[in-house]
Amino acid sequence: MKILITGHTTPEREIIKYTFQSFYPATVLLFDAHISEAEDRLLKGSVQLGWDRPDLILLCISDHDTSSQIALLKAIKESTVGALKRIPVIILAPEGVAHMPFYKSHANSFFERPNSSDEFIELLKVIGGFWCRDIVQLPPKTEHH
Amino acid sequence: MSTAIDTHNSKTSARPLSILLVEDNPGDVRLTHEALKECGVNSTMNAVVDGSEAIKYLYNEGPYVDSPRPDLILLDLNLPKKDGREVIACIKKDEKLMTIPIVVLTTSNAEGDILKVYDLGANCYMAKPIDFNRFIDVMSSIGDYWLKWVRLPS
Repeated sequence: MKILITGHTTPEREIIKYTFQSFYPATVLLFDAHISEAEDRLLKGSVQLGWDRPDLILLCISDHDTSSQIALLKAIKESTVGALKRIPVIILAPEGVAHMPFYKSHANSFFERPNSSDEFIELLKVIGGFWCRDIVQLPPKTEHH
Repeated sequence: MSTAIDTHNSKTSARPLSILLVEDNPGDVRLTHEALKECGVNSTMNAVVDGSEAIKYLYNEGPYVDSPRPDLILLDLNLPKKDGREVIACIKKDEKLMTIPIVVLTTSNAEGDILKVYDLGANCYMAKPIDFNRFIDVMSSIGDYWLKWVRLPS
């Protein structure tokens, strides 16, 4: 199980790393702090042979300007590469960010990030418990039906 | 179902969360109902037995004229009349319905089914366990994730 995290702040990165290493140690985390790095990894990478495809994307929002995150989400969900388009994209936003534009752009799920670290860890445990425990069947990496 | 836990969705809405279960096995309907009740989230569950009834429910047709728009759909894949794949396709083509999250719960593990379901735009694909305790575990995960923590579309 490989999760790409992007758009995060440094403190968020540390909490995410701590939580997954403690509770879901088999999960591989890829961090691209800048959305443009994730864009390169996903949009350029997906058309190359041997692409190291993540199973899940955690798209973090740190302020109320969500334009680059929406643009990346749309690029993923409108891609002609099935293996990219199918990756579930989870949104993690501060309170007050409008959630409907993300759902309309086919986000898988939208979370409001709690203010306290303890609650944030609790939320990450719920996300990990859902996606990283073989309860959900993730989209296969293959392009073939 | 009783209100016991303050969820992110209950903070923004006073009404109970509405869940539509599309399932033709009465035993699974009963188990799902019990498992969701255990989650302690303020929710109501309505069940329909096939894909055609699900579409009628979503468009408030026939006996479903006063049915609430569901906040979440739990969908079996192999259903009589109209199967789960057709139901997903119909929902995702409709601008008013397309944002409703769809959780597919099925006994099929076929890779082709998994690919098809994600291609059609379902939110996740879950294998329905035969074991009772495992079934409760799966339903509890759905409740934690989708009902307690996710900010559902409004």
